[in-house]
Amino acid sequence: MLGLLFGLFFQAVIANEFSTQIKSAKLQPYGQWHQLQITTDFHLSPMAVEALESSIPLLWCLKVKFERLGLVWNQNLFTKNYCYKVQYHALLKTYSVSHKETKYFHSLPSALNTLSMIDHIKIIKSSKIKADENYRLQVKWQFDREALPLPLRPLSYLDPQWNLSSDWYLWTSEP
Amino acid sequence: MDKRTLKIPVNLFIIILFGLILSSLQLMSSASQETSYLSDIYSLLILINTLGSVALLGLIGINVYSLARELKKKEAGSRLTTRMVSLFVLLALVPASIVFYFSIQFLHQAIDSRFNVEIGEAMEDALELSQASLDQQMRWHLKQTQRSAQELDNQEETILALKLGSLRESLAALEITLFSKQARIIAFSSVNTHDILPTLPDEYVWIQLRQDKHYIRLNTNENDGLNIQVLTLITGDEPRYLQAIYPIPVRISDLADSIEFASVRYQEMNFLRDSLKKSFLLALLLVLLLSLLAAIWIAFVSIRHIISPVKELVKGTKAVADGHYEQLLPVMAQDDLGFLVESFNQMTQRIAHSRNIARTASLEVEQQRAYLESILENVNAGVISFDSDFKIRTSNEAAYRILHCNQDCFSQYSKTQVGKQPTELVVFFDTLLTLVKENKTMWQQHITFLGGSRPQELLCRGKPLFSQKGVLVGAVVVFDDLTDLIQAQKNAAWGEVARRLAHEIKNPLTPIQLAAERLQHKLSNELSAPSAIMLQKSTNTIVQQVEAMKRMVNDFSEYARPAKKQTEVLDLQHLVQELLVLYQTQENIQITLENKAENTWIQADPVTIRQVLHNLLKNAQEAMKGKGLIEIKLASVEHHNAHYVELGIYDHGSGVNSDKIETVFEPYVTSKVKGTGLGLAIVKKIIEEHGGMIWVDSHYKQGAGFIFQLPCLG
Repeated sequence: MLGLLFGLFFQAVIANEFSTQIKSAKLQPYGQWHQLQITTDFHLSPMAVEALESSIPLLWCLKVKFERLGLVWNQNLFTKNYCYKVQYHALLKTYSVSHKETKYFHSLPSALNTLSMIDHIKIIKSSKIKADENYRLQVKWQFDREALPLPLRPLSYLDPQWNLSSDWYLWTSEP
Repeated sequence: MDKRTLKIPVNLFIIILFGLILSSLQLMSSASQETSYLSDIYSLLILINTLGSVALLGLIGINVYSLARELKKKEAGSRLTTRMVSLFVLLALVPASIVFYFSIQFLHQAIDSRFNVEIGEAMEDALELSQASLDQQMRWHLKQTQRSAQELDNQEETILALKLGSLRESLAALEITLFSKQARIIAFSSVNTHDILPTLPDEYVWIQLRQDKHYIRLNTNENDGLNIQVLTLITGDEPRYLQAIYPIPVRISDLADSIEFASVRYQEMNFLRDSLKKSFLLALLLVLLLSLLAAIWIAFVSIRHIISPVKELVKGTKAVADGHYEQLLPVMAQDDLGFLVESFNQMTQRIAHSRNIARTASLEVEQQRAYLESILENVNAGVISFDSDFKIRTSNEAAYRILHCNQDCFSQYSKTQVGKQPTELVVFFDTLLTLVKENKTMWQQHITFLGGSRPQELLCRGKPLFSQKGVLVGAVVVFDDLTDLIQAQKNAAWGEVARRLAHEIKNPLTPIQLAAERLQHKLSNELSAPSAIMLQKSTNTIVQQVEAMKRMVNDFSEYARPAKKQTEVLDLQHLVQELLVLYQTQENIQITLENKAENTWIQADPVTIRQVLHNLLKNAQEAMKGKGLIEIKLASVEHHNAHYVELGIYDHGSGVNSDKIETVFEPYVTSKVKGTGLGLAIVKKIIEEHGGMIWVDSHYKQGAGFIFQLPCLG
């Protein structure tokens, strides 16, 4: 049994077919703020789509970390998680994306499109950005397996179809 | 240094471990309920339990490896431990596996029984019915809104704004809003007078509206209730859009919610059915694995704990077998095994006590034996003891010395049965054994031993040995070499005879000689010529015989005379060479000298030693009748840590008869016609006066061989 578990675990670690991929991420000045602009490609596995159509909500958290690079150590300027819940409503036959408010969509692609293009997250005031210093932005979409129903949780760690997180994406500003 | 370690009692340790495992499993069981606050750490608990299983598996692996090594080394108790553990694992594994198998079967059946096609279809139908009902309402509201929109065609904006309130009331809408073509709000009316802004359609709605001329959608409001959003085109010169929000009756909304919840829940559970089975299988496997592994490990610990006294007992038994009786085993518990260990300790203590007593007794016996051996080694008499099979058991140094052999010579007669014995020794032992076997009481016998260079007269005394019960256990024989004593007695007797002869015979010889000479002197002129001649012959005979008797008496006198030596340091080789010069004048006699001696210096009287050499050489010459070879050999020998120079004179004459070898050195023993028989007796006397010895070399067969040894200097 332990061998089977380890086998599934390594399979889960190795397989990366359905993972979310961050295409680009950067900070853009907008008014007095520098805002995060992130483009993501969500590629849901058949299992995830089926779960979603069975009204099981899926939760992704966007992890954002912004720091000033130093010679010895880096200074952390901003760290925050933004969680987005995607859910299907059987009665309304619509998909919803909930963050601070809930938005309804007629199809899954249109719901995921909302998550694919995010450009409204304020990271730091533009006045705090110094032109002669280097900054680094780290972002990652983390699929929250612990938000799945209980019977799915342990198996989701062993099933590659639930590898829906992205890798860390690094963006470094140039002075 | 006393090392003390804090040891947790095994029972307490097992209880704690079981408590931890049960707590962990209980937590996992509680967390498997969705409603439990522990559900958030369900995965963590599974991980912890899995790690616990891995840890237990590792512990069992270590124990199995350790047991395998013990088995390989054939350590005490390892086989018993293996059997007990195997039996325990078998007894635990079989029922647990059966329970597990049927549990899984029942569980799967129970899960599957909750889902069937009819219920699923009913759920879908209910949801569809609910949607159809809502769709009907939506279509009705759409028609109502479109009809109202037709009434508003080509009217002024201000008029439309004024009519909007009454229109909302007539349609029983919650909110009515009028949008321009560019989606600008022209006017709106709401049931809630405090609403400032109407519900704004999103971009998707506008796209649909421009495409289809109308749009209808079911929305959820702030109170999680349902409402219907309808948008339709108001045709005219300048197109406008009318949006109406209609409420859904609370009862219908609640029913729709309920149906949706049940349907969604059913769909979710149906989707999770396989996961649920796998999840339960995983949990049950973990429970089984954890319980079994814990039980096996505890079985290892417990069995080792139980076997521990047995192992100690085995070690103790081995120690006792190796003679270590001092080892006391620790009594670990007051149970049957503890009683066994206590009994073992008492037994070893008693054995140790008995062994000490036996050792002390043995030591005393050994001391007695050593004392006896010491005495035996220091007596001059030879002592040989025999066992009940008449094999030699012990013998002393004097026995070897008297019989001219070492311990190996006795081996034929001892139990080891090795070695080769000279024939003379075999004859002696056969005689001795015959006497030992035949005599049941103390006996005494003179035995002549021929194993040495000369015949030895041995006085043997024997006594059979009996045990306290009267059983023959062996015999002891003591023997003395009386050869020298007998010879000394003979020499003393001959000396006395010689002294008396010299004294009694010598005195009348001179008057006899004088009387005979006087008779001849007085009567020679008075007798006739024939008588005178006869007288002269007679008197001459008398005188010659008296002279002969004088010489004989002188020889006896010489033999009987006490030693008056004037010793000095001299080189025997040099003395021999001086003498040989005198004998080299004889052409037919060849004399050779072979010197192998390392040291030929002696403390001796040169006159008497010269006499010895003269006598021996003269005898040799006479034996060879004036021609032949005489070999003189000088050598160094060692006896009893004393160094001797040995001189051998070998001729090629008639030799000495074997029957005369024993008596050749006795007085008046001669093979010569004119000999007095005192020459060799005097030679022997002189040699012995110088602390040496002389004998006939019986092994030399070409003639006579005489060997004498004298102590050399340095």
